[in-house]
Amino acid sequence: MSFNFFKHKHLNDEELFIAISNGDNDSFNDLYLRYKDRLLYFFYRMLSQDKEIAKDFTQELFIKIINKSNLYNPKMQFSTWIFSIANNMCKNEYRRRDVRKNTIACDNPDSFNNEEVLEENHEPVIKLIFNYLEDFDESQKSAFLLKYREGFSIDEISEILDLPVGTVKSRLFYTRKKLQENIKNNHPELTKQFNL
Amino acid sequence: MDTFDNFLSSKIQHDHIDLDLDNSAFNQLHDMVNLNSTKSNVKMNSMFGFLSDFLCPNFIAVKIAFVALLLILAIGNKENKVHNSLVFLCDSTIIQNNVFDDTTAIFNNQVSDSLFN
Repeated sequence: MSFNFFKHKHLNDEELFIAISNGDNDSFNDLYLRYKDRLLYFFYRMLSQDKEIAKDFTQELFIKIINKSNLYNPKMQFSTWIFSIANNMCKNEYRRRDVRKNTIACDNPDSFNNEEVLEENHEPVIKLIFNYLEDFDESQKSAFLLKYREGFSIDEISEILDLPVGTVKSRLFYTRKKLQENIKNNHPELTKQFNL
Repeated sequence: MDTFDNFLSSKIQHDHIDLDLDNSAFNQLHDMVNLNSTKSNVKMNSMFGFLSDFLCPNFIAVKIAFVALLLILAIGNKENKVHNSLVFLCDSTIIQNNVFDDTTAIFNNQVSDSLFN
């Protein structure tokens, strides 16, 4: 490719995005590299662990932020803004799937059972965690990923999910507790191995 | 719970999936950034293009003459408007008087007719 990556290492995300709004391609390259993998992972884990869907959603998200760059408030942290858009896209997808699921449920009740796509994880523990996580609702899953994968604080997660801090805390607590119970009850060997 | 918390953080943070966007997706996004900048340039040009062209020092005498002509036309138009409105006022007074005269005459005729017939 003919462009140079990481030309603007010294700029933060917010400054890069303002430069993109003014048509700076190099800034776009940098921001793209900073967020591409994080978003791909988020969409992959949120949306039935389907690689093609994750790719489409990541691409769509970048298109959205380029087209709607005027909606960005520079006072807001860019990372929370981009993940709040990603979360809203997932929410809409869940809603769309719910509608579809209800309409075709009679013909094919297992149409959204995605257990078969969970095989690619390298570590069985990770596979197990995300297998259990499939049973949680969308906001629990996203809070879990934002905390344990992205390392956002509770305040930032509450901003991204547009939920009160207390609600985020309780959802995370419930998700963690349920996961721990599942692992303890069904996989005592792992509990021993990792001293959980 | 803390042990489990640390366990989750370490496991999930180091999880890796073999997944990437292809070059065509990237190129499309790149083109969109270019397109947006072109769009914004066109917008800026349409908004301020005339003004910036006009303010540049080329053909200054022609521009001054053009502005002077515009001012003369504007002042002339304003005076014309005052004159026209005066004419209109005069005309409407005359018309009103004529109508009044006509109706008085018709009334007088009718009164005299009814008196003498």
